[in-house]
Amino acid sequence: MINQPTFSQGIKHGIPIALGYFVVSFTYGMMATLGGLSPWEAILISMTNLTSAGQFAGTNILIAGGSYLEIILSMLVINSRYALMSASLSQRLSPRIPLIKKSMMSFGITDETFTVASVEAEEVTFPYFMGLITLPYWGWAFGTITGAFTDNLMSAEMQNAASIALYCMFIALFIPAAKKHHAERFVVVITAVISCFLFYVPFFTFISNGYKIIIAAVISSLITAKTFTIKKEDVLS
Amino acid sequence: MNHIAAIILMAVLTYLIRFLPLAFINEQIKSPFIRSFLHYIPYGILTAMTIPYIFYATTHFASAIAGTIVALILAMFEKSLIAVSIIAVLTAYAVEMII
Repeated sequence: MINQPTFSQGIKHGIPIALGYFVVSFTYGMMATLGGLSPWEAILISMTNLTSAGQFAGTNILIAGGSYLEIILSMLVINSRYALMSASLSQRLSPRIPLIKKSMMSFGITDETFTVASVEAEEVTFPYFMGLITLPYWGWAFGTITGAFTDNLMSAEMQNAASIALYCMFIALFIPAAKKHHAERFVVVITAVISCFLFYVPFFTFISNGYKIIIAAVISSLITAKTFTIKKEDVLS
Repeated sequence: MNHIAAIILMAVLTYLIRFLPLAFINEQIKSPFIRSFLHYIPYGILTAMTIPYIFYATTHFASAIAGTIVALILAMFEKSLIAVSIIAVLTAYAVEMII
């Protein structure tokens, strides 16, 4: 953990995220244009949203011709995890960062940037976080551009295989933490159990996937917070 | 539905969700319970988003499971985001080709 991380340290930590984003956003760009959006629409979505799961969901609604309400509900539910991440991040920020800087930082809060910042930085400084999000942002943009203009170059098998890229990034983030700390291991296991329970038990089919995710994550995190409460003196690593 | 309006709507919502907590929470939350909750929630969310959805990401169970197992193993060895993604995707691709 770095105490007062710098901009260039942020850039360095952002490189693997940027590469992973290029791969995933390439899939997004392709899927969006295959579904009927123009490449420019796909690129605009990527450059204004910067969210993997949320974009896929919103884009699918757009392609299927859903309503504005569906988009609103969908985006709120699927992206609500960012509110929790933002709240979590607020506890780690350098003191007294002005609102204007916070407004810039918040644009780049994603699953990956949030997790890396939480794991690598003891105190999340403005330069560090801005460094961290820069390359991933452009990786996401360029991946989308490339994917959007590459309609049919990928075989069905390759497209299929690439669909798991997003999940692989998540795995690469939570497995190492679960490996290193028993509390994190606990929350991961409990979450997996609850998530599978909600997914497979027929009674819960009325709940949309977005809500299932939130419910599983919140319940397991509450249980873990109760069981493994972090005392003030403990190092939050 | 007007595409541009929908896109702007998506962007504004996503941004506000990220910005508002950061804007309004200005000090350290005192309660150890809430702080712990906020510390664990990212792992909860990442796990909940992945399992069991990763198994249905491809059209064939076999390639999804193969990719997942490879990703899990590589992640256990703490390989980078990019290495885990690419190798697992290639594994899934190989299985897709074999089926």
